Amino acid sequence: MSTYEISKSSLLSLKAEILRKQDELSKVKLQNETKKVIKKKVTPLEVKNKGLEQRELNDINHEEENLFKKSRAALEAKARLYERLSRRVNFTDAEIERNRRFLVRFDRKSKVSDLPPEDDCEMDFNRYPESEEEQYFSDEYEPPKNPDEEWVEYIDCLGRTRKCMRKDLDFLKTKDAELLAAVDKDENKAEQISRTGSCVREINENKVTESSELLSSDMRRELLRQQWEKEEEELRMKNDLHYQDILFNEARTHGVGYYGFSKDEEERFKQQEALKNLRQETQQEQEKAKELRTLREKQLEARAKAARNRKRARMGLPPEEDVPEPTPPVEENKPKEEEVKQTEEKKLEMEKEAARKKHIRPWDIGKKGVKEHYEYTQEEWIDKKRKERPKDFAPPNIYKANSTNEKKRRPEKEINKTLYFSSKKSKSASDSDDDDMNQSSTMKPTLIVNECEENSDEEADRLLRDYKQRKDVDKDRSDTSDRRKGAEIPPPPTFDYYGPSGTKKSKSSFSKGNLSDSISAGLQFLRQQSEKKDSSKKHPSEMFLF
Amino acid sequence: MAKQRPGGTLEDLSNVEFETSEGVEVIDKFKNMGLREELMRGIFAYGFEKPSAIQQRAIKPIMKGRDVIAQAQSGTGKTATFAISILQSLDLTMRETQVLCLSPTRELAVQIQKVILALGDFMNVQCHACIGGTNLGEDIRKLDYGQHVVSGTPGRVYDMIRRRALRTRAVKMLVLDEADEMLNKGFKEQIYDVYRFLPPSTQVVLISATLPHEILEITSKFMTDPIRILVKRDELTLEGIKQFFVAVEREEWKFDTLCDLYDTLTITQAVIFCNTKRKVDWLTEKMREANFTVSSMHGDMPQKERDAIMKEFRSGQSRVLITTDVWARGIDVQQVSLVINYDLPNNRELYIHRIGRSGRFGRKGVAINFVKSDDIRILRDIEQYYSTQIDEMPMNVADLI
Repeated sequence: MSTYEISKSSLLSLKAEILRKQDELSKVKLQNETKKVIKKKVTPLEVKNKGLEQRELNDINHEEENLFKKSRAALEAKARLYERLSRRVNFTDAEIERNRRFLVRFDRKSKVSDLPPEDDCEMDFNRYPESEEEQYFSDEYEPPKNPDEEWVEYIDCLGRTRKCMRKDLDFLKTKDAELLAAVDKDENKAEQISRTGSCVREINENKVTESSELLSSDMRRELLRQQWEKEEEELRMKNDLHYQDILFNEARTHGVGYYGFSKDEEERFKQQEALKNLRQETQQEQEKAKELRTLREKQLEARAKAARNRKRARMGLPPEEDVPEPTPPVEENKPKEEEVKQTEEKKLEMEKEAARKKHIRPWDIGKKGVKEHYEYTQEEWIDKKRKERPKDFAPPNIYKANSTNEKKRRPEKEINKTLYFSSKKSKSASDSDDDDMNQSSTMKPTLIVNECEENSDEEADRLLRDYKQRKDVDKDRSDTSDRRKGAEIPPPPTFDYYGPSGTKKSKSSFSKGNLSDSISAGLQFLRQQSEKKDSSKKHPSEMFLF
Repeated sequence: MAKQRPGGTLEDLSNVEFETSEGVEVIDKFKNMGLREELMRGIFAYGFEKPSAIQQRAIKPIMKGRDVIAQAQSGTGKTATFAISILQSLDLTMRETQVLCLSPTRELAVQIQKVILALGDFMNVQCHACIGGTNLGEDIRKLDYGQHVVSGTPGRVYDMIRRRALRTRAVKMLVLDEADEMLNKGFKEQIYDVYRFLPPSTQVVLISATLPHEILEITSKFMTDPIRILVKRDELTLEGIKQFFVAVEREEWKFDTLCDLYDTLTITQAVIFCNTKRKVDWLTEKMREANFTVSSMHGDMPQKERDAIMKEFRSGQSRVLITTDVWARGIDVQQVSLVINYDLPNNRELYIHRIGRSGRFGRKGVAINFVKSDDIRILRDIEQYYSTQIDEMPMNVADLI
């Protein structure tokens, strides 16, 4: 027993409530959808690298557009065919015969098309009573009463999948074969038909591989491996190897010009010869056509001229004179400039080439025909040696200030760079020397200077002595002095001429007062250097080989 | 530009910035390069129509006989660049080895042989792959027969030279493909050994997608005033290869992720990279146990097996390949559109090479990195180093392949 009393009004209000809720729900749904859309935009996928869109645009332009065009063209061709078929009333016998193969009765259609659509339907159904079965286009059929009525799928010659009853299969197959034959016959008819032809061929190919597709992939692989093994065995016997020999079923798209030559050497040669002949033929044809064209043009020209002359003769004028073809005035200036430029470039390139030829790679040293060591030019040698020597072992600058023969050996000044290999002194060089002189003239000569002057005939000795002097000054740092690097390297024979070192510009204004300071600073620097050298010791040993 | 002058080899180059050489000519049509007719036919038959950026720049200088250092993005036709130059500079009437081409892996050496034979198909060029793991006697016989070009790996080539089976008298060009790998610690000595047998001042060509500074530094030891064609590292990744990552908390989850991705893998062809041979074996075993069809390859397999697997993969018979870095460099299979880094590579260069197995010659590609939470930092470093973008993998990744 129910304790609730249900009144009409309460039912109505309930209904109203439900409607309201439904309405709300749908609204919320809508909102959610829009929200989703907004959210999508923020995903990191949407953040694209620059240039990406352009690229994608390009891709679409090239690939997809072509596809679209193709399918559009196919559809248009189809539409044209339909239109032609349905519009034409007077069919020839052959055409009627052909049209019978189509499932649409185009000849009827053109007559019927004016009728109201209902009638059209009826007509069609009357015409094809069996199509009643297709009235319900569903995939589920009644279970077959006998095996003949079972529905089976088959693929027609155009590659379409179709369904029919088993009992009709044979009939349809013969129809299909007819169509195939007809299609093959009218190859020149239309591009569409030619395409179906290619479809047929593809299908045939598929049939060939179908049997292999039935194998398990392992089996197929095993077979292929055996095949490859056999091919390789054959290759072992072969002397000349070519691309086709080692392709081994690779799935690679080649260019349109690709020609798979035979693996047989003789056959391959024949094929290449044939290709060559074809190419020559084409070229000859092209040339002939060109000659013919020019000849024709000339004849035309001659005829035109004759006509003009006749006209002139009628008017009593002498015939036209042969005007030599105006030769363009040779522009002398511009090409010359270009020529000069070119020759200059050529010269530069030649020089570079010569330098490259002269260059000896470290890895080549010791090879037959290559000198045992790299042969330095004089300047390279000096440059190298100067770089190797620690600055502190260079003669102090006061030497230069006080001894006259040192003056010659001061090529460091940037202005003097051109003087580097000349014994001559330029004016500017002597000027700068004077400056130094002024600065250093205020100091008194030291003991070191005297020593130097005494031994100035032997530079190496002097440098050593110079070094010893420092050792005296700073005995406790004698350990660092064991690493006297630069000074021990024997000077090249021309040393006297070019003079020692240096990159010691900065020291040119040392005064006597801070000499000991500078010595200690120098020793410190030396120590730092030696430490540095230790840490990068691998370097020199690697220099030549690795 | 780096200073290059006689005697300059002793300079410290660690602070020198290497740049593309000035005045490198750009030729945008094969027919304007002055190539022989048969070679042109081979180029077009192979499917090239227009030269790629590197081909436009590097072919001419190599043809001229200059030393060249050429860098270009993966899959942009570097192999064809030097193959074309080699074929152009050959004297076919002379049956002696004129060009020696060294590469780090046997598969790559064979592939280069294939490209040279393909491009030189109309020239009837002779090119031999001189690689380890093959029959010595046969190698000697083939070399004895006379080969215009030898493409090989350093070990076997050196062996053949020492046995005087490979005569180096007529060699005029040495090509190092994947040059940075070839001049790395493991290979450098072998390269030096081979180089010592070549005539002095042999033309040297270096090619790679990655050329770190320290490699460029040592080039002065065996090259003369080289022409450099370089790519800045922020332009080294290709727009066509989309890069993603899948974050996993634990190593075991990588396997489940891979299984989930299997359907995507088989859309075309895919390569899965692990860092060790053992892991390759383990993963292959595990995938097979779970009834997935995969093939695998690494350096510990017998050469015959390696060959067969390469052929299967190239012919499309197998679609998923699990492998090590032996496959990272240079191997070109057109249909590969997906690369999975099951483990992140050990260095930045390898990353570029691995993902470059997909997206060959303008095709599209996808690279997916499996990262544990502590790997993400490494991935971000790679991303920043090449200024590229590696996003979290979207659901519709299959649409991108």
